[in-house]
Amino acid sequence: MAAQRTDRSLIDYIALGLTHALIMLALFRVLVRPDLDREDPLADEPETVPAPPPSPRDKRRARRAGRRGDDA
Amino acid sequence: MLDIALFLTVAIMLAMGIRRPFIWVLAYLYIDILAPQKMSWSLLQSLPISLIAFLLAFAGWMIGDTKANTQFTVRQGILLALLGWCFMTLQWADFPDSAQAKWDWVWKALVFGIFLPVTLITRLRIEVATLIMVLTAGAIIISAGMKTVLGGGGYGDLYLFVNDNSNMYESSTLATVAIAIIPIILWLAKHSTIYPPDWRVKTFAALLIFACLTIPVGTEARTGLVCIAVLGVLMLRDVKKRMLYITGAAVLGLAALPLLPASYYERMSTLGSVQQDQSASTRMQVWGWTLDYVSERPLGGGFDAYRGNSFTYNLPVVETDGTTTSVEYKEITDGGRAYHSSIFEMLGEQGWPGLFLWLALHAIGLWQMEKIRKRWRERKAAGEQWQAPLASALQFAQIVYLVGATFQGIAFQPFVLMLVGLQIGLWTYCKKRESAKVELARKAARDARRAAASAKPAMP
Repeated sequence: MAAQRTDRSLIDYIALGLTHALIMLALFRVLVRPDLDREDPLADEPETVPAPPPSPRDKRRARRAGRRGDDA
Repeated sequence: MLDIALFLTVAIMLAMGIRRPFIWVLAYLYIDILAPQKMSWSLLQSLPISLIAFLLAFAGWMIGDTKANTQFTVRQGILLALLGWCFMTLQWADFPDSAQAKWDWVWKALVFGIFLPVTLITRLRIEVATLIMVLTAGAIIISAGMKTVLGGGGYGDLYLFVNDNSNMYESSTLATVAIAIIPIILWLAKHSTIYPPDWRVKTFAALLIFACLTIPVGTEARTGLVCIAVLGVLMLRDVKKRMLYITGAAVLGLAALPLLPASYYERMSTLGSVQQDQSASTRMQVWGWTLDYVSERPLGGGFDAYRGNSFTYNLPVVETDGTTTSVEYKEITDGGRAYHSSIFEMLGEQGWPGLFLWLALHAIGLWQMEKIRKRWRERKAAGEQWQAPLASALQFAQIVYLVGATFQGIAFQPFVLMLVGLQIGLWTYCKKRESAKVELARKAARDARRAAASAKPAMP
């Protein structure tokens, strides 16, 4: 019984030691990362997002504006 | 020795929080899951470390975090309503003392479930909170798994760090949570940036999943077996090579059969025979009693209202003597039997309004995770690969929990409320990212229109 008890304690120490080492290492790693507290919501997007193609209404407006410009 | 090590862990975590206040949130997750103060017998026990971490986490958010984009979501509203409703039912509780004892931890778990999402404003925060939850639960699971493999299990016999049936240390709860976190472990092994995937991470993840699978064996919790089966079917949705997965699962299952202890077979064989099993039979009786109870008191009887139940029934006892099998009916009187189901727990304690809120909380969660999964899985950008799999993992974890919760009274399980907090955090994160993208596209279109309008007239 005593031997079994020691085994169990040893298992507890292994489980606690391993997971606690990983927890602490993870915390040390995130401690120095600037992206923990803030990140750009568009950080992974290309620098300039291409504008969506103009709608037919926009095209008509642009044409009209162009014609007015020519008339003037 | 253990005492000093645990004390140092907590002290270092709290000290790190001075530089990065979010670590106090992680410290609370760690303390609430593992309960190191219960494992130690001097240093930590004398300090209310859970409360200290909770206050620091809140203070850190108040002082350090930007609150400009803080959103209050529907599910946080439901949690808040549930908190308020539980406080109401506490006022008319049938058993005020035990109701007060349950309220003392339920309110903390609910408040933290509401608070956690507002701190999860970056991808790294979501990831590290998930990692700390898995690793902390992993401490209990690895220890229980190793003991099971070395032959130290049995229903209620498995010696855990803390043996007071509280929180995660109740064997059926541990079995359910252990199976529920498997999809989250898989997500971390593939998408973690803290521990980028390599052979060491994959080996650890595989061993941790193995430990998780041994928990239902070690605790001999039948619910755990049902949870494994459900998770096995759910994972068919996302695996790429389905036939290989099915074959692998079948081979592993068959290989595990000879290794299972005889007592496990005996207990699992009662799964199909409800009538002969006192545990299942009592369950049916309690559920029937709860339905009668709420027909008279539709607003519920407050926490631990089950203590008022009592019933007598006949249980068939099968005796085999040589070649003859006889069935005798034994009269059994039972009282104060727990609900053994979160649905009936909510119904009996919080009445129909409480059950409705609880079901809404989980139903909306399942729907939101499905929505994120569908919207984000086709995306190609490097920073948009982790959201859909995480939503899927959190959804599976929730389904496994809900299956386990059908047979256990774990409606307010703090670990699960943390998972709910993670889901809300992910939902808000994805929403913000999407709206930022839409806003940018709109701005670009507006700028392009203006440029076109102003450029044209100037042309000759």
